[in-house]
Amino acid sequence: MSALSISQSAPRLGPLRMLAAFLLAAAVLLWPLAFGQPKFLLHIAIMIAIYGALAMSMNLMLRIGQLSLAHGALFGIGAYASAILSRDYGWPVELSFVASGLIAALVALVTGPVFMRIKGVHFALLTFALGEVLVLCFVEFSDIFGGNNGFGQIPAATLGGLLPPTRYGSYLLTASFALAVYFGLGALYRRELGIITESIHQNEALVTASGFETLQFRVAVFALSAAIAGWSGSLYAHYQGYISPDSFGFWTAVNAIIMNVLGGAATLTGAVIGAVILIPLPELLRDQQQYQRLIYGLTLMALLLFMPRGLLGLARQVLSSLRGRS
Amino acid sequence: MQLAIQISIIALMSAFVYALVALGFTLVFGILRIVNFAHGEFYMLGAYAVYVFYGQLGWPYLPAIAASALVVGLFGILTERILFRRFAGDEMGGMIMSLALAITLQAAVSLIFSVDEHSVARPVEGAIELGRIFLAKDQLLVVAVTLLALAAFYALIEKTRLGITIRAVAQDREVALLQGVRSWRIMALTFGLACMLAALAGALMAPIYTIHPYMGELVVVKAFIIVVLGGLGSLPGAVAAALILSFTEAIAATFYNATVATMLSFLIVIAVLLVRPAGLMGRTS
Repeated sequence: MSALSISQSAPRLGPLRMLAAFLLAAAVLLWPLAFGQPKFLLHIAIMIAIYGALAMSMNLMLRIGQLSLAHGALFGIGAYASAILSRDYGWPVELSFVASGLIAALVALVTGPVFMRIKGVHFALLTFALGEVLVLCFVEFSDIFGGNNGFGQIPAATLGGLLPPTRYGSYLLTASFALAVYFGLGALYRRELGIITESIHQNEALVTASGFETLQFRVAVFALSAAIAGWSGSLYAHYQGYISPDSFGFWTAVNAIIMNVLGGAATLTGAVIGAVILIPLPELLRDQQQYQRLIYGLTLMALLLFMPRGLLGLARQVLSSLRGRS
Repeated sequence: MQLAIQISIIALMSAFVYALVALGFTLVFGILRIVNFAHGEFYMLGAYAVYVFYGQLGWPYLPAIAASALVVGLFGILTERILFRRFAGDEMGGMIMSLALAITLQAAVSLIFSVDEHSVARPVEGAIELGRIFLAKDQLLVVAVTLLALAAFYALIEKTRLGITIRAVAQDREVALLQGVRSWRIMALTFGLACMLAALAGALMAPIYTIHPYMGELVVVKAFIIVVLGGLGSLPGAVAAALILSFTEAIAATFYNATVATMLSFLIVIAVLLVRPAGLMGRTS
């Protein structure tokens, strides 16, 4: 009940916050102009935007207390769908992009009614298996997906010539998408979505007893999360021009989770901060791949051990949802 | 007939090896409530330890595998103490810590031994001939040692005081604490034991296949499938599921291909999780 009463006090965007949001968006989109559009930094920024959006889609799942290890594969479904539609079927990139998220959402809608009944660690294991099956499909059905050789010559997104055909153009597109996800989900969290997730979180039995279909709601959240993951995948495919199954495995989902954990709290900003910390690491140390992995692993361990306060918020929330629902 | 027996021996060998890894995996989950994704890395460390002791230092094979299991087991106790203890019961935190450990160990081994594959010389050569059936001696050795280890482990868990204590902590830690069990010590011991079993499996498999820093990833996936099929925390379930998995896999891989075989086993996992989340033989909580 206490959670439901939040609805009156849920903060709306005041004019000051709107101005702050506008300035933030402008700064994010325009900074490269002030720095002479540095290619390498732009590449990292594009990766942050794409994986940040994926991390935010994972944040949505964590909100309802479901740890999904299939998001790497959903990211992959978006990437392959968009690539196949635009290259092999000649669809415009913009249309393929729209379709890619819808196809990923469709997968969630089909599996969701059964999958979302499973909770806790078993849901994580279930989505792990689902992700592995999907990635094995990308490998096995090579006449559609290109198999382990990958899938190349994916056309770039130009928005009908609106975007400059430079790396800054790709950045504008991916960063706008990430900003849209950030503000869109933020708005949803402040309204019904946030209130309902919070109430389900506190007392699902009560919410169900009040006549609210929690299962349907959670399937819808799963679908929305899958759509965002799929769209991120589509942007990834059109930016890279080449995709292969190993970009969409278990570790992609894990990295999205780790970004949320590093961010420290179960907030969208936390997920973005996680992406900003984690993405540059492999890009900066690209030549010494093993040192990079070692540093990555050690840093993560140190953060988990010595920064428990930031992590505990999320861990507690997930844990209580892993345990508490019956 | 001959093909059937050959397939059976290979399936039996991998079943026992997977069972050793899966038992530790499920034991750690039972005691610490941690899904240890780094469990395969202890298997990998066991293989590299035998590569050093037997391949490089030239120790005899059996002492070398015993030493490998022991060293990795002690290392496991150390990681439990430093990394995992504070995440006991925190499924999310523990899982992420195990992922961090997996990355770190893979990278460390790659830096020390390089990412290239190494091979370990076979400790026994040749085959036993029974009529028209040939049985490779090195595979039989693996079957014999793993069977012995499984029996010893079963005796330890079922018959000894330590085993009873471990099961008590797995069932209900608080009650075990009330009975005067020092559960932290049991957790460390269990974790070490689990790592030891995985390392033994790795050490035994090192001469059969080549070794490389990422060899644990595949094995932990198998262990994962077995544990889900058998039920998280169930020991007899793990052994039964290991047998089912290896025979299905050996047959599917012989007549179709390995990708299809893996896909099939994951589909079975999904079906089991949906219909009977506690696993085929697990207890429903």
